[in-house]
Amino acid sequence: MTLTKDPHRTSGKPSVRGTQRRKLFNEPHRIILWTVTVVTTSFLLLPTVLVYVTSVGPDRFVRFPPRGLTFRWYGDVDVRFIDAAVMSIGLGVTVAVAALLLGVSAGLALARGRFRSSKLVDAFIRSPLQVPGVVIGVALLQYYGLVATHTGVPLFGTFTGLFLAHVVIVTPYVVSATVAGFANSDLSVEEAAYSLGASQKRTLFQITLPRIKSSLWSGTFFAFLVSFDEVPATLFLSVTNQTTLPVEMFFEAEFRPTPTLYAVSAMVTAFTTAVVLIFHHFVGLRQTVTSR
Amino acid sequence: MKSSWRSLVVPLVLFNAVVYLFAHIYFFRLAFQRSTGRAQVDAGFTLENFKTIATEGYYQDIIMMTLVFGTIVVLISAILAYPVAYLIARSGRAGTWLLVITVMTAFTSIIVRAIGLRIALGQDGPVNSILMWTGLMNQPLPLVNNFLGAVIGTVHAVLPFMILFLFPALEGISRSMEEASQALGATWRYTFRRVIMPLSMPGLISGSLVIFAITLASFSTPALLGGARIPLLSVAIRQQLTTALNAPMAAALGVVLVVLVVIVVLVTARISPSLERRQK
Repeated sequence: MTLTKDPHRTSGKPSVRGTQRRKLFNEPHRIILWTVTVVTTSFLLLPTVLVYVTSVGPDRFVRFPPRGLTFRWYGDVDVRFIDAAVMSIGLGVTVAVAALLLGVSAGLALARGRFRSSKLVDAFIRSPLQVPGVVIGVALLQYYGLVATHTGVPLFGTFTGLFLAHVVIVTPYVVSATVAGFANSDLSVEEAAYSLGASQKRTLFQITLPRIKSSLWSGTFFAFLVSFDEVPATLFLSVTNQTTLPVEMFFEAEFRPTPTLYAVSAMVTAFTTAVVLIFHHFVGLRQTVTSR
Repeated sequence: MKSSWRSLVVPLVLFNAVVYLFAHIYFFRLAFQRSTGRAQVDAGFTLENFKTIATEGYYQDIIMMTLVFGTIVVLISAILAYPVAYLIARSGRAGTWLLVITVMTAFTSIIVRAIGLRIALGQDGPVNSILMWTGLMNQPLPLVNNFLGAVIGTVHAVLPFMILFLFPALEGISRSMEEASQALGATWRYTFRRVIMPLSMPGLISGSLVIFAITLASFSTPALLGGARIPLLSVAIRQQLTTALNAPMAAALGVVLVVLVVIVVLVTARISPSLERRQK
């Protein structure tokens, strides 16, 4: 049952020519593995499928299985969800840009600079990753109150308040991506540029940063996503009808879920699924996940 | 030349200091103050919040259940994730499709997933319908708004990430090891037990620790699927703040949660080097 290598093939993959085909039934353990995996995968996909199915049901009080087919809830979406979606996107984009600026600077400093406290600074910069979202939310909520009392600047329930919180939460990801990108990019090209007379600024923008372009892109993308999907901290720092999409959905799911909630959920999911599939088609997920 | 780069770190450090650090110092101090009811706080220093947490059964339960919750979720996720990760690593195109499904699920909004699970596990939902239709049960099982619902929900939330942690570890095990073992006459069971499992252990352990920390901190899914009275630290923190209007107690519970997470992180940091050494 072993696979032998065809000596004339150089691809390195075991050849199946002239050997027993690896049919599923020749290897009973594979049947078990695949059965378990199919069950687990169904578990993973089940909620999404149910959301799609329920969103086209006609009942006003959500029922499963739905007793008909209608798209009316899609047209009936409450304005506050649309506002929330706009808020989420606007927030995500501004936060990603800010995180990029702050994070790449810090990443550069950590990767290329030499200073004694770099480990401590690194830990400090990465620490928001370890703090639970609930804690960040409560802490900032109280802090914003303090700031408002002493300076009169209102931050609770404002876009700025959410912006600041999200930047704190999201920047560590950009820093990680930048530092990781630098770990794989060697210094000699930059040093060559210096020795050829390029200024520091020029080297930075024309050589150093472009070489870690893919890390920067994935860091930014990730920053946007984390901000978009952030719930616990945002929950404490915003008020209903003026909050982000997932939090608005959370509030409604908590109190009285209406059919439009499922329609909105279905639309959001369709969007993210499409993004993942498009990305996979053009770039390939396997390479992305394994090259990290 | 190199040392001038270091000033670039200043903007972020300053930003973090003003927005994040000061907020958390204030928060930490809040835990040592006493609530005087109606969202007012007495400015003195007191340990009474922590004393209450340490002595009252209600809070001891919460801390205990949070740890139990984390452990159960991690165990179940690890068991479910392992076969999937193995097949992604070893099955070529079919495996790639598994990977796509996993990533798709990971990117789906956590709220959408919780809402979907609520339908799935509800009284009229497919799970209960099948259970009753096949005659296994006469009454619908209560699978939502309780601890079980929270566990199932959080397993679902965390599973894609566990898979994504495990699969690089499994992929790193060279196929020729498995083939060599089988060429020498071992059954697959033996190969798995003595070759694959031990080699994947470091990835499994470090992945599990990370997921454990994430689970301790998770809020949205347990809140939606476990109901408001579920005994978990993250939910209790919110309750103390928004319902009981007791900010100091919320802060104290927050401190406890952070301490737990920090312990897990420190354990991970401690274990990682020796795990990496074993792998080599």
